[in-house]
Amino acid sequence: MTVGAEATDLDAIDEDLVAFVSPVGDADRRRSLLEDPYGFFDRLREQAPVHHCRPLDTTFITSYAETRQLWRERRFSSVQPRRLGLTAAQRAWVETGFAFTDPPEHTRLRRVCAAVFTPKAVESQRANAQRISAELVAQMSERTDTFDFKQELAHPLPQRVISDMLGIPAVERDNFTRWAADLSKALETNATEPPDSGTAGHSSDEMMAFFTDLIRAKRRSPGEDLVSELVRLLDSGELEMSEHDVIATSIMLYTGGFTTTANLLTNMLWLLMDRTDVYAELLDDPSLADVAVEESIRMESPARNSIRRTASESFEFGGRQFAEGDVVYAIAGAANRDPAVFDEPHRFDLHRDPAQRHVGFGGGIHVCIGSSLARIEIQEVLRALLATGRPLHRTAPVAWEQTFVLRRMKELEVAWTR
Amino acid sequence: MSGSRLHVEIDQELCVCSQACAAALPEVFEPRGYDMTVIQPDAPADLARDLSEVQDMCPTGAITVTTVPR
Repeated sequence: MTVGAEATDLDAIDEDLVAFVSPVGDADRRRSLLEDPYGFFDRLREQAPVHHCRPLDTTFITSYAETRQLWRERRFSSVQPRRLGLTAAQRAWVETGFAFTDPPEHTRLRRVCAAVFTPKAVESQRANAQRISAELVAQMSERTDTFDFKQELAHPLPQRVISDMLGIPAVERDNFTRWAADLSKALETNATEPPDSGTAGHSSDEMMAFFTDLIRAKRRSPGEDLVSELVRLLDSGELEMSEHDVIATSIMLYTGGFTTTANLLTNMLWLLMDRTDVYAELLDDPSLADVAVEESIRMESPARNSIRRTASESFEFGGRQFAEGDVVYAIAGAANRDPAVFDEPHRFDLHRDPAQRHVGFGGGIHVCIGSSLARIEIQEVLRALLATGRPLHRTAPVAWEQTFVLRRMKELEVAWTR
Repeated sequence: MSGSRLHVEIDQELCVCSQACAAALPEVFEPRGYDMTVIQPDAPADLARDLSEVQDMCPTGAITVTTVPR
């Protein structure tokens, strides 16, 4: 393990990068980097904000300015390599989910999605989020023992909201939990270890079959939900789209709609519990809840890294020459703590100047389409938690998952403080 | 600055209708149909600061603001 004085050297940084993104590197170093990567991100940003890691033949961006620039650069493609080992039908969600497409296909698919996922549709979920938060927090406040916050609240809340929004029956939710967990593994595309394509493929098949049936059902008896809206849009011929697009869009909204929010909620509570002064100030003044939400997204966005980009031609970017096919990642979790933009970047600041805008939802044409729904849900949960007047505390050490793209933990064991 | 106007445009090739602009400056930007529209393309000069803020907030950099002398 090489930590310490010599670690400012770029070779040591490369060693850490290998440990960080792939299980090939030093396992102990990997665990400690995953636990708290922020000192490492600082060193990397200071040494080389746009850094080509030779052993991985991949460029990593850790500065705020270049991260935003990367997302706006059209010569970097978001199309992913076909290395998941899935069948054509199984790959559907990865390849037609428009996070993994470029214009003009991206423009077409995002338009379909934006046509139903409107600000009005999203805002109409606030009352729902409020009601479900109150219900789940009320259940939680009866607990006198230790419980898993993710299981009790962070997971079910966004899942119920997005299910209601899409018109997915409650009985299907357990299947969806399993499918989404399997599929999110396929996101870790840079891992040297290929994701478990067998499981992901099987889940993908089941999910496709489910949506194919759901579309039929919605066509027979449409409701006030987004899948019915998508079917209506498809049948109207107003937009260029296929039944397959309806399935892919539904899957993307569903999986994107709750796993990320569940992780963000969990990460937020973890941040607060580790900062008792901040938590106490919030309990005293719940009007600071919205700022706390933004600080949580800045400091521990579950989308730690942007999805892999590939140069589609040769050009210079960030002082480096890229050749066609070169791979680059922007580490949003590092950009969000760039001292060039954020005063005291490692501090959870309830009074941070809003002009210091985080990039926790990404940027460019792939900016998170669900950010407004996520904000509503998280704000309502935090308000409900603060309304109890009691803080929660952590009862067990946190185990971050061994993931590079996502920042998440399996569970968060907590108990009420009094 | 006084007497000049601002001209606001959206590059529809870049716009993904993130709504950031409409949320911040609803008097200038409004989603219509499937697209974002500039409902006040000739904005008064006193909106300069707000507009430059919105330009920065736009995730795709789709907004251009030019100063038009009267």
